[in-house]
Amino acid sequence: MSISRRRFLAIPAAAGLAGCARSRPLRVAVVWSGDELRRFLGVVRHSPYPVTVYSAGDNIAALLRGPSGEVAPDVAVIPRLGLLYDPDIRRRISPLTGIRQQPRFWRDLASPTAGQVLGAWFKIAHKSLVWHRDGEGLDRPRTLDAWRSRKLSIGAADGWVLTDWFENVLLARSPSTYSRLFSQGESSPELWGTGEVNEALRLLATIWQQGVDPERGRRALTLQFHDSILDVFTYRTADVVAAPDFAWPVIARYRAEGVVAGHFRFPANGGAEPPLVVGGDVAVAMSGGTADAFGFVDWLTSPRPSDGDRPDTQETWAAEGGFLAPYIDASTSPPALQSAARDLAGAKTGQYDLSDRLTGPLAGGDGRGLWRILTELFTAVTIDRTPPAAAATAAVGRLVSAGRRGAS
Amino acid sequence: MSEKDAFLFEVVPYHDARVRVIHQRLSRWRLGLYLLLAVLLAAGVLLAPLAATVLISLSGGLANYGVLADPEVLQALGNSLVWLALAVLVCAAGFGLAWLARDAGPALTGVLRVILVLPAAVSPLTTGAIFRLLFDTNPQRGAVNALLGGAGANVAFLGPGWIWMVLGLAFVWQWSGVAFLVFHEALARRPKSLLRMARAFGVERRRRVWSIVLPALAGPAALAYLLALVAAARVFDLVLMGAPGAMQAEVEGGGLFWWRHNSDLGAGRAAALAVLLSIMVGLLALPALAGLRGRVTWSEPPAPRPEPGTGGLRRRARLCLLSGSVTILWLLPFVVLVLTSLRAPDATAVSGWWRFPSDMWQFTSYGEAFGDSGFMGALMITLVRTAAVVGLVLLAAVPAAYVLAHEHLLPRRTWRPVLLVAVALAALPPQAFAVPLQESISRIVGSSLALVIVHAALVIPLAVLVLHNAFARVRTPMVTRHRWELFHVVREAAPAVVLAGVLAFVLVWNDTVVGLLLNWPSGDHLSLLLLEQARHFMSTIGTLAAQAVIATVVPVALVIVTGRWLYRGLTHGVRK
Repeated sequence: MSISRRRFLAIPAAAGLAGCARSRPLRVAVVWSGDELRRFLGVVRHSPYPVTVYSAGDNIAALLRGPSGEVAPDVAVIPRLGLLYDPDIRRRISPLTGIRQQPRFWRDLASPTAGQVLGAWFKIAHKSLVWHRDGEGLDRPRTLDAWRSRKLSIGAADGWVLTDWFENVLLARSPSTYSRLFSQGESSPELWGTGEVNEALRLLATIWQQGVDPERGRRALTLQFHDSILDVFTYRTADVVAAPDFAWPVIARYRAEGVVAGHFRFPANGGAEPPLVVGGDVAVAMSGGTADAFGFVDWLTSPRPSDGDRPDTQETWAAEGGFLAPYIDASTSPPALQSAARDLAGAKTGQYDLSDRLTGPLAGGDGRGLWRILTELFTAVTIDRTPPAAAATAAVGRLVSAGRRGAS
Repeated sequence: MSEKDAFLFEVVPYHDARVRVIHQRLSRWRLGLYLLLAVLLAAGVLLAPLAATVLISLSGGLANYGVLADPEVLQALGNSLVWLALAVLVCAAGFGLAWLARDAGPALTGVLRVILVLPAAVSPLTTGAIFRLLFDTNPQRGAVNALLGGAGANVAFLGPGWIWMVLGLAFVWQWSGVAFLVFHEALARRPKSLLRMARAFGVERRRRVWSIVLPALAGPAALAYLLALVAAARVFDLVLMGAPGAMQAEVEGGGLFWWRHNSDLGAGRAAALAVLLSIMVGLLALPALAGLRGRVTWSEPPAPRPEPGTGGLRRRARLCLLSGSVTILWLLPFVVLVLTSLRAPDATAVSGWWRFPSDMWQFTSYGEAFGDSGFMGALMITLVRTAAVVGLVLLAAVPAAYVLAHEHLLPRRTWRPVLLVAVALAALPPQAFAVPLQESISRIVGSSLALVIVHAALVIPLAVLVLHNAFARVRTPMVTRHRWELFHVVREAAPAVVLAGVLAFVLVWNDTVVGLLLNWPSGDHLSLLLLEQARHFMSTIGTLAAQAVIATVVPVALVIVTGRWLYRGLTHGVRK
């Protein structure tokens, strides 16, 4: 497997602070690149511990799983919850002790075994939003079945965009199935073959087929997440795009003049609750976790004392949009994102991103797992115009067989 | 003699027809010493892990080879075959260009050589980024779609089906220059007197081509094919950067598939897939080896080129057209990259590079690259590491090639198989030995030393081949046949030594595969930093372009500076 971890920035030890006795700075592995990485570096610049940040990109799993435990980082900020459940990685993570507790919903997510909290959430995301240009008379769909958007923008080049769609539809239709798949998805492959999954896939296929014609489908397969936002807010070639809260900074940066962004919740199924899919990045201390590693995780994932004279970079980030966290108050976010932040603060029924939770052959990544199966479904219904029912059945078959491979 | 065997890989015994001299044999231990480093590296880093992979794949009989029943595996292997077929297309393009330029004057030939070979020094990651940008689906950004937009068409070039065309063009752009070099030299040396004679005796044209021209081209064709085949077998980063994530499964070969899935497949099946891949490449390389083994006589020196001004109008028109279109087509990707890097980063995400007058000469992207301590650190580390690899490669390959090139130093029966092994190792996909290697050196994994050693071991077979060919052709006066002969040989074959060094430099500098495959926690190689930008390709293309320009300048400058030596090293190997 792969690794691309790099030494990114060595921050000189902040003199006079705890941790000076250490011979080397804490090594922190993250996944971000570009803007987000720059933001994160801005955050850790104020860290009381000397820190070296490595960006491992999408290959962080290999970094944590790799054969050489002794060169693993001290702290990792993990974007996929599934990695905490991966047996090879789990035994390298030190359970957190003596750090401030986060809200119960988030704490439970980071506890693969009861009573043992492995990680604390640094950043969380609201993945059940649909964005559009405000004030252009868009007819908001009230329910999933009534969703007849003709001009959907879908960044199908990024597999996680498609899995977010699937998760929202499945969660809206059948929260119990979602919850079962969440906890036993890779150990019980037959769960993927149930009627609920099939029906959710068929509904998803129907929405895609109606919203994306063959030409746009071909284009969509070449569009990444950021491009799909440009189509709505810069070029106006599409009406709506389903995207998480962190679409906000992209919209703010690239939107055409005069365009105002608005959003609504992903439509519900009939009269039920609208779905709330959440994601996030969780900070963990790796094995041999020192007091400093715990201290850094605690510092990174807790609110700052309000009397500090330093500017709190996390709050600034949140205020500019694109950064939500369980330890930052919803009112900090820009007005457009405050409702999303409040949804997350009250997340109880909310479910964590299923594809980020999966391990084994169903785990995501370009050209593999759930990402690949949904890409094929998308291609079948939008470009080849396969009837949704047939395409959904084919996808179910592939899900079950991939699940079997993992369970065996 | 030096005019014969004008190319490398001439795996033919070198028959010294000159007066026998009394060779001063090297003592046995000294002989061993000369070969020691190369053999240790090749055996320890390549052969032993390869054997381990084969053993793992055979654990439990042939059951692991049931991996072939998986449709996704079959698709990936099928894609590998398409890539390998593209190697033939590269040869055809190279030959076509060489044929069109067969009677070009020396100045034009020199220019064509440089322009056509430059892409081979660019990393496939950068190539992928440039072609992805050129063929972007959005007509605001993609030049080709902007042009087509005038005709009212918009094609999703990066989408299903078309993606093969984009990546195929990128591949041809990158490698056909090397094939051009080989064929151009071969055409210049085709047996003209024999052809004249055949014509005088009334042998018809078809027969002349069939029995004189084609056999004379077999050797060079085999060489060009082998070089393109090695490039095709290792296609990896081109797909990672050039294709949008969702499209990668459609074009990825077995090597990339293996990288994504080896943990899902399980050790045995992953090993079986790696072995199958190696066998496939090996089988396809066989015709090339057969072609190289055949005796090819190009005893004629290059014919004096026609003086400029002579020849018909048609010839001049053809050459003008050729040089014009080659210059435009081969330099355009470089222009695109440089213009993109010079634009405001925000503008690159929403509009194309041809809008440059409005927001040109903003060095923001370069400022970001140079201000990024991670990038600058990686630049330095990569430079130091690459230099260390070049040193190690020459240290190991020069004495080894020296021993192999002089059959008086080795029993005749041994050296030929050794050379064949070198050819096989040069073409071996790294997937075939990555896992056992990684496990066996996990103790030093992450240290720069480990990376240097593995890189060196990978390049040594190729370096030995290049050097062996030149060393065998050094004329050694009797006086110098003493213990310092090695130094005399190195001095005489300096062009080949430069060639081997530059090859090692370019391969290591541009490497992505080894860094990704071998799980290096200190993945601070330059190309790995570029790869991370693919997460948000279009919104980071400005920064990516600036970083790619900086990363490309180094190998390209090296190739331009050493150009004459490289050409001489490739075609003659020796100084005179």
